[in-house]
Amino acid sequence: MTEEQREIFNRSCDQAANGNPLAAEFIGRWLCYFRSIEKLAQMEQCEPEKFLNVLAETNLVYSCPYYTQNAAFLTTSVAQMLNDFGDCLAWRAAGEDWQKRMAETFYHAGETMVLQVAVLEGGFSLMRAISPRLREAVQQCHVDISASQS
Amino acid sequence: MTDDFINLICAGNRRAQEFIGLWGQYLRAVDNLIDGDAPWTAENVLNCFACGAAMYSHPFYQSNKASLQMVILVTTNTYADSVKWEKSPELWKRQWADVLRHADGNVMSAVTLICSGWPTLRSISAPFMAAAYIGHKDRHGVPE
Repeated sequence: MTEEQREIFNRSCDQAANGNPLAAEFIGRWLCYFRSIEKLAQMEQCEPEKFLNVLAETNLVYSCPYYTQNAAFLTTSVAQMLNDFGDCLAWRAAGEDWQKRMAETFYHAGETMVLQVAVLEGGFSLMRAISPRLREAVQQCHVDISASQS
Repeated sequence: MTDDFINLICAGNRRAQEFIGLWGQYLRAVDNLIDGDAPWTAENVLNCFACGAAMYSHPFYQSNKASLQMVILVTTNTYADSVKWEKSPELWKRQWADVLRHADGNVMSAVTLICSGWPTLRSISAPFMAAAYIGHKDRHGVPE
């Protein structure tokens, strides 16, 4: 991620929290947590210690005060993010171009949480204000990583 | 675990019963991946974390988070020690691992305390641990 992308991304996260420190804490934890899941799900094998560390992260994320306050709103979204990421991985290896394109979009499923928090903290208008720039930043970052790996 | 047993420790609390069901699903998903009974695939890994999300998002967990969070975290740590030691060259570590693997019983104990109190916990704790240990021993033997 370039400095500029990182700045846009961080600013979007700050804006989504809308001054609520609990929301900011949750977003930070969630993004780290989802990165961990992304890594685990793409590994061929995993040492138990590494896996169990992510289970501990699971405990901490879902015990954040912000999650507790908003669990009823966020539970379904969490399942959808995991599901989208699962589709992404399944389709990345698929033969059809459209599946690969959709997979690239779904790759950023975890970042949807930033938008969910934005809705809770500032309503639809805040989400709309953040969404396009956030997607641009994460998409560009992903393209950069993919290019560096190919 | 029988329905009667779950009913006893939950004192008929439906939310607690649901939570125990979700805890069981989560445990199985974790165990299967650690033991290699389920292959390490993206589907299985994501399914495991979806089970975790469902369990932690359940109203029983969220409303008893103050009691349950540390218990689950410490249980995870104990289980991690068990996994680390189960193949140790030192016999005592393998023997400890064989006991520590049943750390998940602590979560059952916590639910029992929350729903039914200390006397019920004292009445079920030792038989529960014995059943867990013997069940595992019968299937897998003991470290030698």
